[in-house]
Amino acid sequence: MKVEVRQLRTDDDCLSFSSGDAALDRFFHKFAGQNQFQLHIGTTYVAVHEREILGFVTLSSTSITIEHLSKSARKRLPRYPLPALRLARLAVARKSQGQGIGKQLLRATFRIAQEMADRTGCVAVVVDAKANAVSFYEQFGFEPVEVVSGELGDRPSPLPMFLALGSIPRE
Amino acid sequence: MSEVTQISATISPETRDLLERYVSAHGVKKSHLIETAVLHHLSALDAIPTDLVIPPAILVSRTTGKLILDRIETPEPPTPAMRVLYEG
Repeated sequence: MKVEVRQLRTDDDCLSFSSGDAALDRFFHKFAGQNQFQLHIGTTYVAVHEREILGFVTLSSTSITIEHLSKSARKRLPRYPLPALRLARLAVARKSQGQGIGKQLLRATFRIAQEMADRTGCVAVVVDAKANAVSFYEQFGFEPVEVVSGELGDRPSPLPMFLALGSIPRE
Repeated sequence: MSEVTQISATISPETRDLLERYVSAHGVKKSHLIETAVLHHLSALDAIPTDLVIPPAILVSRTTGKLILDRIETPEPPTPAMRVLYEG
């Protein structure tokens, strides 16, 4: 089955998508398009097969600031705050789960982070992992981070995790 | 708003730099900029559902910050799952 990962389009049929996670489905049905086409605060990429949406990932650029970072430590950094790519939400359609769609979306995310690094700077990918997805991200090297502020407002609270760009192979 | 009052707030040096640069470039008063920004922010929070908001910045603890800097300077090698992901 040929699966393409591309940006969400205004004529995509979002409402037919069902991952089984009510919060993620609600976000995708009602807000992913608004998020991208009107507010420009995040971009959603979809995995599609013959126009059917099999999964989505919503990305946003972000910056990481470290609490009480000394001036000398800050001076050693080429850019500060640290630019990063945030994977805010990822879901796979219920009938396509277990077929590698999530991994394809993750690889597309890594490619975008590398492009961002080349164009404007990016040191890491940060993911807001739902409890049942933590082990999925851990296998790729993501590590939990302690966020003081800037967490998503989702409930239950996702676990913020971090992966340095240098740990991701180049395409 | 006929009356004025004073507040004080602790902010990061980076935010302060942004503030200073903006008022210098645009010739506006700091107090005007801050009040306008707060009103815009509160208005946006009212208008946008919580689950639509992706905060633009993340503040991490000092311990986590040290880990992040270590990983950026000396990245861990790709995990076996990562290597498999890139073999396909």
